[in-house]
Amino acid sequence: MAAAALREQLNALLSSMFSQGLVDEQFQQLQMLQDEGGTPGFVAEVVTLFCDDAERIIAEIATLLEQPIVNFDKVDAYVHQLKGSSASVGAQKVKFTCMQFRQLCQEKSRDGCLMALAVVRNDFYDLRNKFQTMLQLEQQILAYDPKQQ
Amino acid sequence: MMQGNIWAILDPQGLPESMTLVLRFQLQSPLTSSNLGGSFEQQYASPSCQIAGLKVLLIDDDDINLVIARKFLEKLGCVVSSLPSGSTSPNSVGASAASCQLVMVNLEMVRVNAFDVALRIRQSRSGRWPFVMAMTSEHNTWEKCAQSGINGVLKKPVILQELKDELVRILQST
Repeated sequence: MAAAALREQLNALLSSMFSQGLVDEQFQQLQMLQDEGGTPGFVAEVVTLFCDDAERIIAEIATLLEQPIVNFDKVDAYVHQLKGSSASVGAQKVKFTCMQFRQLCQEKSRDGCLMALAVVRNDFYDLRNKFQTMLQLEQQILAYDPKQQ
Repeated sequence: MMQGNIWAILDPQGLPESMTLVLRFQLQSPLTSSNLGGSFEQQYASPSCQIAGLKVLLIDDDDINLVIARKFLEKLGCVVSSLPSGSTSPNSVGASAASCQLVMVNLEMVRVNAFDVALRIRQSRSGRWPFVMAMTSEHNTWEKCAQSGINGVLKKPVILQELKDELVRILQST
């Protein structure tokens, strides 16, 4: 029955991610595709790609904001990229934070951008933790019953 | 007067190969499936068969987009291939595109001009195939797309139902 308890945990986690607005219908769509198509690992692949991508972009933005003269167009381009990936994956909160970040890029304010970067980083780390827990739970459930997808 | 535009696409000899007319119309609100009732399923039965088995080439440098688009297309029954990133030279694109029926291209690629790719495909094809569909997060790209011989446009992030609808529209349009 341990598998049932794990399932409950996973469902509770997913539920809270949706109700807190961390993820949206696009993420749900990806999950449904995985479940319907019997292709485990699809969501894990997409989520991992997104996390690696986001990590890299956040680091690039941080570097740009440290320069004596900030190239706000480049920062904006990176934020636009991150917004695109988060939308593709269904990472709603990060997507919205990126939209606000782009406004601050328009204003060309280094301090404003630094604050926005801190918020994006926080939101992303929070989401990444939850994704990691989700993937771990899925692995554990699969270990109990490999036929269950 | 009609707020439109007309142009010709020239073949390598400089002779007009095709003409395109673009007119702007006010969009009616789209009919939803609930309005159409029972006939909806019948209307869409045959185009779905056309989608199954369709050979699609994906050209994109965004890993996340690629994985998701491939998944959606495979869900619809398509056979999907993609170009390794960096190999979008005219010869490799032409060769890969020639053997498929639909090319999906990301307009916001970093090192590649998607409109050039679309034009090359358009110029090297004979007959009906392949169609070209663009994926973009910009608005108002329709005219520019049409000028490059692009047959359809999808907003990003790609959503399964919109992808299916646009595929059906393109396949029915000739």
